[in-house]
Amino acid sequence: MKNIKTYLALLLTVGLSACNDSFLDKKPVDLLTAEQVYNSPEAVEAYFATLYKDLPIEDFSFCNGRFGEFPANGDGYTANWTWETTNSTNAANNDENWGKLYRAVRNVNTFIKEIATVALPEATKNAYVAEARFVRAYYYQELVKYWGGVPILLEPQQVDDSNTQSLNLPRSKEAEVWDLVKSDLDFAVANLPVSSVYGRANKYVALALLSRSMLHAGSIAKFGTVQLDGLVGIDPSKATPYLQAAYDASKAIIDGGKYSLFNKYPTDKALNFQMLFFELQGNSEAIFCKGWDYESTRRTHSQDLMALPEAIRSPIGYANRLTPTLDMVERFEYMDGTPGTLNIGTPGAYVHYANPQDVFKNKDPRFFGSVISTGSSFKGVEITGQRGVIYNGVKYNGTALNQYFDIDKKQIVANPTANSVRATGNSNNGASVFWLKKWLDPARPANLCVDWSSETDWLDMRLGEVLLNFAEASFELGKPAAEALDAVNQLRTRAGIAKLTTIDRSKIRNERNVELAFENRTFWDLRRWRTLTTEFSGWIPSGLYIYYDANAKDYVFERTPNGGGKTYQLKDYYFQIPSSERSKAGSLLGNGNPGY
Amino acid sequence: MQKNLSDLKTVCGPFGHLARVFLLSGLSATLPAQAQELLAHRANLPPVSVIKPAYSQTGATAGKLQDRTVTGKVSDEKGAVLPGVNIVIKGTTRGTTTNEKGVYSLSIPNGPTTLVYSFVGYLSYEVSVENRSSLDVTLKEDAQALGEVVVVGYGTQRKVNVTGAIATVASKELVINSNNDVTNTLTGRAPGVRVVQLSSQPGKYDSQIDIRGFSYTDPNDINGNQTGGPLIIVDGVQRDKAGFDRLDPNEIESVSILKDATAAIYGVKAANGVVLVTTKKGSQGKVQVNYTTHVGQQIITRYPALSNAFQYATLYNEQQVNNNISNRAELTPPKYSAAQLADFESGKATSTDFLKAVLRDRASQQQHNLTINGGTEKLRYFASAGFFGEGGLFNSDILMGKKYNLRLNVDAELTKGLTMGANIALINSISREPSQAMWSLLKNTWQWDPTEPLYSNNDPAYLRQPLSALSHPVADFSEAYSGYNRNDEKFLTSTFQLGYVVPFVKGLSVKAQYAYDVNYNFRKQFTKKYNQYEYLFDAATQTYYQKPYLHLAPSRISEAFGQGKRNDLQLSFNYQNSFGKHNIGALGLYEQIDRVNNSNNASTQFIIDAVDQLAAGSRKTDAIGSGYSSSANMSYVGKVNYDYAGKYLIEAGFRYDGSSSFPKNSRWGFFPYFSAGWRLSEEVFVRNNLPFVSNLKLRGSYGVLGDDGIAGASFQFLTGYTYPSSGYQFGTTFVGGLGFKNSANPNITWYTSTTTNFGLEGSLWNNLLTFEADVFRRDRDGLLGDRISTIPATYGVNLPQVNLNQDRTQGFELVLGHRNKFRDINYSISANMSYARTQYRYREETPANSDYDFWRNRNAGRFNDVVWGYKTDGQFTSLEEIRNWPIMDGAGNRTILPGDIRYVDLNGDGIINNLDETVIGRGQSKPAIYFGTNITVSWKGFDISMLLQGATMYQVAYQDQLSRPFYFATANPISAFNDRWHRSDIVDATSEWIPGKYPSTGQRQNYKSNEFWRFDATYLRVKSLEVGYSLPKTLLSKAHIKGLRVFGNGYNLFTFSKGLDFVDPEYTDDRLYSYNYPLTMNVNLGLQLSF
Repeated sequence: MKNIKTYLALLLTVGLSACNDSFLDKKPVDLLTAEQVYNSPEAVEAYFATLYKDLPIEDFSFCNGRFGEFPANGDGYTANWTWETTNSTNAANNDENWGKLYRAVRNVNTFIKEIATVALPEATKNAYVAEARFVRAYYYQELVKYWGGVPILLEPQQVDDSNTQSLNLPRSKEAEVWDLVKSDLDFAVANLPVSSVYGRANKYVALALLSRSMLHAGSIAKFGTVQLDGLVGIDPSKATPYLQAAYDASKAIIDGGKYSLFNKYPTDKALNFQMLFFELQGNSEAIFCKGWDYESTRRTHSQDLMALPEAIRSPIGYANRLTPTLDMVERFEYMDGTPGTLNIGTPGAYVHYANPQDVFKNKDPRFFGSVISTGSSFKGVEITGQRGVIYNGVKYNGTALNQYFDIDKKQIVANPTANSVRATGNSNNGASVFWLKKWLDPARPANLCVDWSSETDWLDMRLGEVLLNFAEASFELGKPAAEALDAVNQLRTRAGIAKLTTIDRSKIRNERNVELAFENRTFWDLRRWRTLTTEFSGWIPSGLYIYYDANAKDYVFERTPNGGGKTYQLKDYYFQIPSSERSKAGSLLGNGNPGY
Repeated sequence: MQKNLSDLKTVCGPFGHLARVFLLSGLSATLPAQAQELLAHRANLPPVSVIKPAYSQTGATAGKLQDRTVTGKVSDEKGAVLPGVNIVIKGTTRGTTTNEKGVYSLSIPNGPTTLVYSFVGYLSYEVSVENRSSLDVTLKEDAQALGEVVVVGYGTQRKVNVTGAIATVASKELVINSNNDVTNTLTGRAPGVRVVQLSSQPGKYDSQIDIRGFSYTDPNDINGNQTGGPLIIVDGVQRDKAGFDRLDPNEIESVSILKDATAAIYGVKAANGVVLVTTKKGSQGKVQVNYTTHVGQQIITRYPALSNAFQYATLYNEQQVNNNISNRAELTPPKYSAAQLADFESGKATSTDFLKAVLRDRASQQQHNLTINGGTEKLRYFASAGFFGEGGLFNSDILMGKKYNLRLNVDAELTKGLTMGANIALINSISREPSQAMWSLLKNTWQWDPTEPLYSNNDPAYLRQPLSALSHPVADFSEAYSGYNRNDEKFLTSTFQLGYVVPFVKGLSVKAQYAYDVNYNFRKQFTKKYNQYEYLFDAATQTYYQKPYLHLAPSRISEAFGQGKRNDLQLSFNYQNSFGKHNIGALGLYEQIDRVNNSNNASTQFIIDAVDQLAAGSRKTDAIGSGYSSSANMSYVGKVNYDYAGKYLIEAGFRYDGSSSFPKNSRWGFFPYFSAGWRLSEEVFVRNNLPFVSNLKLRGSYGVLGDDGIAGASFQFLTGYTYPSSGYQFGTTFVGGLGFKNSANPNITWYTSTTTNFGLEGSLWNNLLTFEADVFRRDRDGLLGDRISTIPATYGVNLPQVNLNQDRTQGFELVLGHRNKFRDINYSISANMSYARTQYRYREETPANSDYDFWRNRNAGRFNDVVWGYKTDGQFTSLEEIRNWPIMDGAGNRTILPGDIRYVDLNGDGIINNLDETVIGRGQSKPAIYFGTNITVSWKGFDISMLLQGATMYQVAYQDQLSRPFYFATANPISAFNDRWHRSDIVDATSEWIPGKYPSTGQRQNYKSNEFWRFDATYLRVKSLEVGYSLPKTLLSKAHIKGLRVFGNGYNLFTFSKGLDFVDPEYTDDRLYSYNYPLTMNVNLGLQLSF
């Protein structure tokens, strides 16, 4: 007992006199130091995994105000607000991308700065830096596409409590940002290996990005207007060097012979074109892909859930979020090269078809590879979608999914009856009878297409685009027409439609629209060509009404306006600089971009 | 509970001299816990040394009147003498006090004389002297008020000497509510304490407690989580709210709520207020066994009803017609024909209430508790075993909550002056719920179109697949169809103490206390796929068939284990002594706490889902995760109190706190406080001039408190690379990424709360009226914020948080009480109310771009709960009115219809747009004024206890389905929305308008943020009511039963609300999109048996 008292007194004395607060030193369990990172190839790879994760790859989520996993994890779906699709979500709120891109820029700048201090073989270091600069170029080309000239940061800034104002930087000119993109990519091209694992940059990936970027810069110089002393717009004199750079980079890829157009299913051109976007590992045409895969990456998206036709929608709903317009459908020519306008007659003088698919007969096989239409089959199911039924000259319009027309009662009913015909297949809008096929997983059963279940990879850069970049650069530079014609005809031959014999700007652009439909290139094409305001402001897209003629027992078609009417102004060629950033930077960012 | 002085002498034994110190000091007993608790439980000790000066018998008058002397002795009911009792001749100022032996002597005039005896902690007593010259008097203790001992920071104190703002809730009040969640039992019991019961879901303990508005619920957090809840101290040790919620109310002795700077003694986080819980202790004497039970029902109070098929179809058609007008949509014939409507109305066509199909209106609950209490002089024990079980409101019985409580509290005296104590408690709570989140399932259920049948082709073997593809409520709430989510939580708390009274220094004792807590939880979520069906006709085979649609595929399971450990060591000394009328106490304490949490979880998907085990999953789909965190605090605490003759009270203390959340250079904070009290009622001039004042005290406190609350933002002072973080696919493999933590705040430190409180409390006419009033203010400085105003986004780093922001919370509280006896009826009534609101003082925000931007979007100086929107001015009654109103739809008011809400054109520019938005109310669903009234009545064996509770200056604005009809395209509107403006013929746009409460369906302009949809949720409800009858002891003694009481009680019994008719006024609006499990009333019958 006495001992206890002594101990108690002792404990108390020790306790009250303890001054050592090492008890409070806690260490995080998930934090690596710079030494642990830069000296380990595995950690450097992990560093790159994050840099790549932050790439603003314009995949399934593009134009939903978000970019794929950049910043969010794959929510959303492809949607341009042009004739590509009628479901358009406005990407007006891009403020958060400003901060996210600059955060990514800082990470790559930190890497470049720190790796320089590590004792590594020069070649290894160069390869690291080259890959890092490829990544940085990817970030900056996105920044400049969005906002024009932006502040250029090539080193991580250090914060100093006393003077945070000095952290604010002025915008560089648009051309200066494109020049930075070019110099980073030139370095990458010179120092990257010719091949790399799937999903990672190599020399050709850098060339493909250079081709895409320089074509964009060259177009801005050629078609745009210089404003704010070059903060947006590029002096026309720079058009040629930029286009030449695009031309050279494209040519290097084409001549390199490493890639060839995907032609795995030569006897079924439609299937071949569909599979080009699905069979990506080992694909001869794919230059740069982004992986989505549950088993190996735990990263999934919801493209199928969102875009499936109503007729086979997922048990949890959604569907129909992406429905190509009739205008888009008609951009696909017929196999013989004639214009793609559908032969449907006019109300009162309908052209009758026994089957809804007959109206698309002989269209460009790429149409069947890119678009699902009424009467075609997807995932083994016939896809339905129609406005209603015409009987004795009276139209009976359906209002919901899977309704029927009871011929005896002369009314639309919910369930089939003995003497009924299908009246609808699509609950949303009888005018939307086309759905996206490109990027949909043909194998996954529709009932398993729930949220976060899609694993389709994204094909970001492919030889097909490079050929079109080459054709356009060549044409705009005034090189011999045969060059552009040959590049376009390579694609048309692979597609299975008649070759062109002559070439002009609109033919190149139409080929691009068709070949690259739903690949999110059109969004930027219309901006760099400056045709968004001239061709799409106030424009009303068309939809297609399909009626079953219950007397003739066949189908008739009617063109109909379907949504649209959006106004585009010159200011829409750039986004506005985030207001909070302008207020912090004061005069350095001024009022931001013109027109706002 | 209260015993007398002589008892104490024998009971305390070795504490004798301590007790004497205590007695002499007459002061707060800042003694070792052993002693405190002994004293607290055994006696509410009257002071001895507070010897009032005999009132001077002034001048000649006194001499003239002097006639004879009366002497006597004053003692209490137990026979112990009472020194210091005031004796006054009624109607005069003449009087005296008793001496140390309780003896007095007083000269009184001849003739009829009445003497008034008064003493703190006792009821005043008047007696006519008549001819007696010797008059012995026995005073009765006033159990309720002044003699009361309350638990304060690291000790106990007599209520009269308390200088801080402290509210207490007694054990018997806690058990009345028959609610399993201890937090809910505090509702309305104490001023300044706001309790929100978020739902009644079994096993969820879905409650929040907030003291004086000091806690914050982020309106953007869909889960409605609270940040900065009060600090919870159970038996002297910091513990979690989860463990507190799950305590058995029968094992709680008392709950004290420290609301002002005196809470500072508990340091870290005490600025949000402290809930001090003391569990019951053993008492010396024969073994006493108590058994309490109640069995009852939980019944839904008020929950939104859904439209039936007729109402649904009518509203749908109306919306279609209105859309045609307001949105210029394509004119389509109404979806439902007149014939269909007639069929719905007559019941010929299906009308399904999907909510009723799964939800019933009541569920059972039961509670049992057995306590054993007893001990000898050297060893005392209290043991308790409790069980609480409840079912849920779903027909499928998928909901279940059970709770088991075990506790053993032991105190022993090892040798003279050395005591030991141990409190060991184990709680196990188990619950089961559907595999998917409750709120989303309720949302689904509310959305079903009531014209759909429950089953496909009305065959119960086939759940219906509706057009909307919603999952089926019957499957959602059934374990057999869709799996389950089970939780098993265990809390072990243990506290061990050694106390020693140092023999050679009078009044000094030392204590060591060690607490080890571990909690453990296991969650198992099994999600099972199932089919819903559509009944279809196959034209090819001319047959009907059931087409299946798969839901919740793939079947999957997820299991999570978590463990939290906490070590708390406290070493302290305590000093208590008196020098004449100077009473001094001092406390020194060292405390160190360290906490470690770790968890892991695993999930997999099934190919065959018959076995709900991880091992049965497909290995390709396995995923695992883990978590680990640790933190520590070190503190030095000091406290001194002093009083002069129990009249002037002063207490000062400090806390020197270190936290592992901060770097070495800024981890320590010094936080002092000071409080003082003046007992005016002890002053002669009050006593003489205001004899009806039994007690009157003025008190104030001021202190600075520190908080290291940077949850989720630890190690802000470090830089580095976080690993793993989300990664990328290279080749065919996934590479985990590195997160960048490359900016640090090396100076991050404590934020402080400066708390000021003034209070006045007293009692008049022997407690016929008691009152307590407090005003308070808490200013917080250095709240963490991002330096967004100056650092541009191009800097490119997730900025560390900086101690930047400031806010202020202030308010007042009032308590009024009355107790009396009328013949055999004893009754009391006590009412409390409180008001609190918080405003930002400084807030780091980006600079405004314009004056308007500044006014509209910056918050510095504003209340933190303001809601912006349109002012409204009733509803339009005619098209004429609409035409003449400022344009509010951007389309010449062509889309507006009668019944639509009239917005006010605040800036008078003829156009109503966002420039007309202004502050229209307060959000956060927090009432600004909160009140409660306790009423107790007892008559012979009967007792009644009632708590009325309510709130005002309280608005709610619901989201989603409760905010408008057809919030989701075809979702079923709640039936309340049928009371609306509509045309006499729904589909005839020209027919006459019939007024109603809500606007016509589908008119989108009505749903901007505006005053109309902010309901005044003022309410008053009978929160609890208990009626009991104790059988006469004479009857029971034959059966060797000491006491038997039967009772019936209810919780949330009756509700009166002002602005809400479709949902319970306490139904919370600020989380989970307003889809909450219903609130219930509980009705129970029970008995208490002791032997």
